[in-house]
Amino acid sequence: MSVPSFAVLGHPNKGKSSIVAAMAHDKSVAISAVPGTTVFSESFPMSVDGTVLYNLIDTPGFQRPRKVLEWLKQHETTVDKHPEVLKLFVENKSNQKTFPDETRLLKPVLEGAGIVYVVDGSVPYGAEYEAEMEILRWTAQPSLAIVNPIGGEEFVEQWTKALRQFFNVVHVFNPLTASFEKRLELLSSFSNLEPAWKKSLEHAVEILREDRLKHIERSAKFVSNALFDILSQKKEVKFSEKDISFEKKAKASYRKEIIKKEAKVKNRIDQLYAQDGYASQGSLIDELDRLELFSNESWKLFGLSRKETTTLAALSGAAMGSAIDVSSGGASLFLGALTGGLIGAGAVLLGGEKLVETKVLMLNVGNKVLVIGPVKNPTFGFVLLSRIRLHHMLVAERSHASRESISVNDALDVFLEPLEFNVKSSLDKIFRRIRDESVKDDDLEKLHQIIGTLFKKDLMKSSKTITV
Amino acid sequence: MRIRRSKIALPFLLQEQIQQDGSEALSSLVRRDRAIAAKEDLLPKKTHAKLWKWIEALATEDVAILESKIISANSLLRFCVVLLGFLSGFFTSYGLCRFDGKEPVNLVFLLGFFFIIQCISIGFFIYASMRGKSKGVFPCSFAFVISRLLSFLPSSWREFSERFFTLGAKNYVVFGDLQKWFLLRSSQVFSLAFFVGVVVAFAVLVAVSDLAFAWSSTLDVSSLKVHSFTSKIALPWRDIVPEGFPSMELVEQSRFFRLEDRSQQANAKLFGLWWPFVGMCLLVYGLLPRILTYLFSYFSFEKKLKKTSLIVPGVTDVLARMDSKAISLSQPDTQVQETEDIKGLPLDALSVKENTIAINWSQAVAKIEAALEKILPGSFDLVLADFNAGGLSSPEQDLEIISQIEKVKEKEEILIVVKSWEPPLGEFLDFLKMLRASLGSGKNIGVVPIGYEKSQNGTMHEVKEMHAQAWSLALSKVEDPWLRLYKVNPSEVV
Repeated sequence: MSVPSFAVLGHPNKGKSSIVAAMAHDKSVAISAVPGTTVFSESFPMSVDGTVLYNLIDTPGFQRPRKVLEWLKQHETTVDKHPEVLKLFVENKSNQKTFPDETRLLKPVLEGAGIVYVVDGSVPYGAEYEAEMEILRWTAQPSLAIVNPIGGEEFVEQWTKALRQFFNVVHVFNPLTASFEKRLELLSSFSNLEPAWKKSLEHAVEILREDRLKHIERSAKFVSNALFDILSQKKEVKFSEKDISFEKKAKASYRKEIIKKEAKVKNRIDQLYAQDGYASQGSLIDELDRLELFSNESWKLFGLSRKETTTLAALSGAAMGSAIDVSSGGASLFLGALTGGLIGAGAVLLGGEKLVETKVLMLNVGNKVLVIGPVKNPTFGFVLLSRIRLHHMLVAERSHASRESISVNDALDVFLEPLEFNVKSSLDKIFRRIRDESVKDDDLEKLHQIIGTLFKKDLMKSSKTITV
Repeated sequence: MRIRRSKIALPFLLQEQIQQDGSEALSSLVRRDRAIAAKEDLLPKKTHAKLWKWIEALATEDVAILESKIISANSLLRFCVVLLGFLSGFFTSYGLCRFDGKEPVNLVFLLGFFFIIQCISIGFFIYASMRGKSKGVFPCSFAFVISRLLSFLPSSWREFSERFFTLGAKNYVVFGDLQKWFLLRSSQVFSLAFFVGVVVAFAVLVAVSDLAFAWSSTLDVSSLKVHSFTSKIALPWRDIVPEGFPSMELVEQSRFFRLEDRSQQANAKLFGLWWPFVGMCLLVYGLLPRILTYLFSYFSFEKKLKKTSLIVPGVTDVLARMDSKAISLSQPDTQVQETEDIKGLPLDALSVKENTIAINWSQAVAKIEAALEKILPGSFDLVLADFNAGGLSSPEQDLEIISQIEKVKEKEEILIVVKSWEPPLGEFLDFLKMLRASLGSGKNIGVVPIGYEKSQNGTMHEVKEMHAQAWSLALSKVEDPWLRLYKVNPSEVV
């Protein structure tokens, strides 16, 4: 059985390469504002352990469809001979010179590839498309059309009506914002074109889903390890005379180290989802990266409110106090829990704003060591986790949504599943133990599980909220 | 590079290789590791075999050298520990059991000494085994001696010691348990060698000298009590080695008082009868427990070694890469294509000149007259003639229009109104070239991309920046010095 192949065809600059890039997850697909950037047909096979399951072919756009159709009509005999006339056209040396784009784009179709015809749904339908759609009809190959609403959906309906006259299946699909599930849906729909391709494509979809789960698990592992590392980070700086500017510099360098570590985690996530090296300028990811980890704005957006922090601290204090109540067999009349809760809440209310703990240790005569860290602020772990969660979601969904279309603040609401109180409380306890260097054996595993569940929930939510 | 598969080296080799991989792109690591697993066709459960295959497939010279250093250092260390243990045991036993011809060896002291040594060392061992992977080793313990011994290794072999013992907080989580059991195993090797030395020295003394044992105590202990005690001690070998079970007579007659008549030395032969009992005590209560503790420490260390290899940071990633199907969604090793830096055609403000000919390309507007009036009121008065080309017109019809334009004598400029949102196709550029060929040099051809008409009121959308740029870039390729690209100002759009 031949490998299912799909040639992505259409007018120049209508997002063919973007569709191939989204489906092939390949940054090497040349996408450009310059019409005619794709000069040659290029294959992007999906293979599993070397076995190709399907093949996507990026093609150049039609340049002279009217003249090509004229040539075909001049050589036309009967309708059943249309594919043969097209074959003659492609093999003709003179045509290869006069119509280089058309001969290149039609070749894979004549070799058996299914047709995926792409148009832009944000601009009006034009009669000039009819020549190329007619040429594609001549190929007699299975075909579907994709309306790509690059800049809006104003003309999607108009296009759909026109395309239905030439293609049986018409999809609306935006490669820049389509979620992973949407991409799989589109891939599954390719199997309707030709029954012989169904098995291979269904297998491909299944493999991609399994792979997706593995990626989520591995990302959760990176992130939980990184949180452990960052939240327990300490820096020791030797000095002989303590002065204020020295401490400031040391603190700044400590923060830089943490920022670097956060960037490293994000980069690992990018690499895992093969998104490293994408130009994200102007995107929400770019906007998120610009928002510094320790900036007020970042803490406001991603952190917990004072009320939440106080409640969590009170609960944590009460839990410790309860231990006293239990040990006294209840004779303390729950005063332990009450006192612990009050102390916890009071500590946040009075000193919650303190970010990094510093202490000075004496070395030998005249020498001291300034120990900076770990970050004591209870909100820090949540800020870090939320930032990484949003980054993970955007990268995993390959959402190149522009920052004009959605703000970071809205993205948090739209894409991320809100933290339930019991999850917040569990995270707070683990973060606290990491900070206090009193980690339990299963804390890392617990953190990994919580983050893995959050990542899965985020992606489920985002796949529902991200349209086409 | 040849890898010798030393079990003790595996965690360190993994750590080294994973560190070397740090600079590699994840995608290439995925392809590489999956290829290794596919080639070896390993069963999913054989995790360690997989890791060895992985190491072997990738091993660089550095990794192979590291392994041989670890093997050499471990062997040297084991040799030193065995030698040290054996010699200490041998000379201790020799010193304690040797009969100087004057006074027999006091059994109470001899057995008490070994009993205390055994109790203390086994006590340390049990305590250390039960302790978590706490930092450092117990001072003065055998493990402490071993850890000190490691620092005296030759410098070329010290890497092993440095990797193993200079852990730092992060590595401690990974290697702490292994370190503890390595020291405990080494201490048990030492103890075993010590008691082997003790037994060997005792056997040598039995064979080549006359040993004399007696018992002596200031306390008021009756021979009956001592016999009862020694009988209990000798219970394990009573039936197998009856000579090792001291008789009541032997106990009674071998009580020794230093102030007594020296004629007791006539009993020298009798005193020598204790040796089977002493020998069996050393074997059963000395050597046997050390064999057991050694075996326990050996298997515990092996277990920890296996576990540690799996928790070295990055190993789960390696295994995941080997176990996951290598999914490739693109061409391997393709690079992002750099787009050419093209200078586009400048956008001029639209000004319709007198004697202009207007072309409505591909039905860019419903009617050219209405469109021009919307863009620049009164401009259509300057138009000599207007035509429809492109779109549904055939290529012959386009040629016909060119020949009609050629016939118009007073024409100043040809203005082609195009859909801004549709980038120019090759056939439009062909049309421009044919028009230029027909017009000759000097005459301006102006291209006016316009926005589409709004369905509600027929007014036009502004031309989007990205569309104008696409036209500017595409027309710059025509290289016609009299080709103009006109921009319709937003204020001009009605």
